[in-house]
Amino acid sequence: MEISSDLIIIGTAILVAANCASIGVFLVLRKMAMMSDAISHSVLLGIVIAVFAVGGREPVAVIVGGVLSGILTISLVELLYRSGKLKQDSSIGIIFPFLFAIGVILVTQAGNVHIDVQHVLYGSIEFAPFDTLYLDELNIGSKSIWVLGILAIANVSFIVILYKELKISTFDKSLALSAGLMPLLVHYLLMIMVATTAVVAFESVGAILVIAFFIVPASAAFLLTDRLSRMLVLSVSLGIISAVMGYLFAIFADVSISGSMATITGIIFGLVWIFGPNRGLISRWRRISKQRFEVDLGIVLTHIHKELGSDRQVSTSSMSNSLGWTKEYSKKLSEFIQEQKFVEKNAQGNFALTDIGLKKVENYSN
Amino acid sequence: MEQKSSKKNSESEKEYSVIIKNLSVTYRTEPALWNIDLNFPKGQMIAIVGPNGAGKSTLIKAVMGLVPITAGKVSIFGKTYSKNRDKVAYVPQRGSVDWDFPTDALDVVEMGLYGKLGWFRRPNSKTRNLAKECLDKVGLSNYADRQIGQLSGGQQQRVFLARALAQDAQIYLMDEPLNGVDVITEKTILSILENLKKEGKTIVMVHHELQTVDKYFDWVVMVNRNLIANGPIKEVFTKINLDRTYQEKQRMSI
Repeated sequence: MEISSDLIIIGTAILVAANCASIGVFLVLRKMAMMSDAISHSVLLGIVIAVFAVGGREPVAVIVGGVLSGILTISLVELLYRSGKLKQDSSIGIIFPFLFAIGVILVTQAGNVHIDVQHVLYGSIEFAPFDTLYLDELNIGSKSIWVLGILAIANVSFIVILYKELKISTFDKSLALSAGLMPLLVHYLLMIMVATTAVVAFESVGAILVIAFFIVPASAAFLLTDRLSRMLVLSVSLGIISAVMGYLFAIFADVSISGSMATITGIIFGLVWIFGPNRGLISRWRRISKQRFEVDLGIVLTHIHKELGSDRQVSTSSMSNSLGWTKEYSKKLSEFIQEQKFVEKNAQGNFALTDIGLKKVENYSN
Repeated sequence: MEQKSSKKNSESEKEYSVIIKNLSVTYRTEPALWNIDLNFPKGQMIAIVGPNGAGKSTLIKAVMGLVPITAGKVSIFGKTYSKNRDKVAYVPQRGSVDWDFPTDALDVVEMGLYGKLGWFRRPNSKTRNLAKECLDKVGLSNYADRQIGQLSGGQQQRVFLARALAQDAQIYLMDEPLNGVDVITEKTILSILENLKKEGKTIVMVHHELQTVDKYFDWVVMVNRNLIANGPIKEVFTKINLDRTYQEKQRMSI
């Protein structure tokens, strides 16, 4: 089976992105971003121990070792913060560097097995095409594609089959508990999927960059939609776009592939954060200034109504004086209220409320 | 402690939906509820009152096993909660969930039916229609597809009530549903609960406003870690009992 190595690398990247970005949605919604950081680092310990135990990088042993150390991480973190004064973030900050550090020590002792710190931190997606699987001496293609593909099937099945259970236990744990839908079990199943995904993705993009694919696309998707199902689809799409664009950029600029991919996730998030349709910075800013303008409009019309009621005249300049607004802003507002025919200007430059304006004032005072 | 005259066991099961015996709940070594004997009568509006930290929320959570029970027993229509969980609906405090969650009002109401569906079974058009009916009952059918964070506090509370209605339970346990809500919401909630009561359902509500207790409720449970009083409003909602309920705390905290 001969497939070009570019395709294998892109395929690997797409599968890493899809796996992490789908399961990452639940991490983001459960406010567990830091926990995924912890897990994706501390799996190193399990991987190294597994490599020592079987004398090589046997995929099944590596995954089992990684998942076990992931679960160890979660359990230790929960033990720490439930037993005393420590908060969850501090507990995470204590446990994962400790487990990761032991892993680093073991890696440097591993002269005879193929594993090094460089590989652990940045992954080795570049070598994906050279690592092939054999079935009875028959070359069945890229190992990373096979492993990540099976993982993708597992992740999608997990989310599809337990969608309702994941949703209710994430949104309202006590409802899930009272309904007998065992949120703690769901939690641990999710953590097993996170740890498995972390171990497998770790091979390709390394410990540091796994977190980018877990958290960043899901966070961008969160800003883009109000539906969980759409958030999942968007998160996976943004993850895949980052992977593909990252690869193309890496080839073009001749830089680290996994580094480029993670950088693109950050850039995409930034764009969504600034330009997002409803929750983006610009649209929020526009909405606030529009609301502000609407409030000021009410203030002006009520002011004119009040002044006219006590037989005083209002002009653009008196407006800026009595309301304490700049001349430019008062001018802008007075032009607007004339345009909208809320007021008319008489020969002396003083305002008179029209019927429409009067109605508007009544609306505000209600 | 005042209790109604004791009845034979078989009769009490007919009359009471929830029977609590010797209930103690402790957080670490701190007692939250201490040796409570208490029955909730059927077809009544029951208020749980007491000062902050008196264990009011803990009491209704303990009934559903949402907090671990240190000692004692709770029975729902004569069985354990896990055997009769479909008979109980719970309305938690509004602050207990993240309202930024990507979901809409109708979806939250439908979640009330997840327990009945059980593991793996997916919501369907039947659950969707039931959820719509319940949302309509609380006057929010126009807000079905609104993201829940964009609802007002009162509307959010009504969504929670609609979710409990969807559960179609016999007992409604509610944690301060009237706290800080608008007038329309308060009226809506009370008239719905009135109807449930007429159908013979038991409504147990943690309630903060002492002025409205005798207006809205038939029965009151006064608690401050210990059970202070429990019975019909006319008999037990007295100044002496109120003083005992609300002074106990001060004495303890000195």
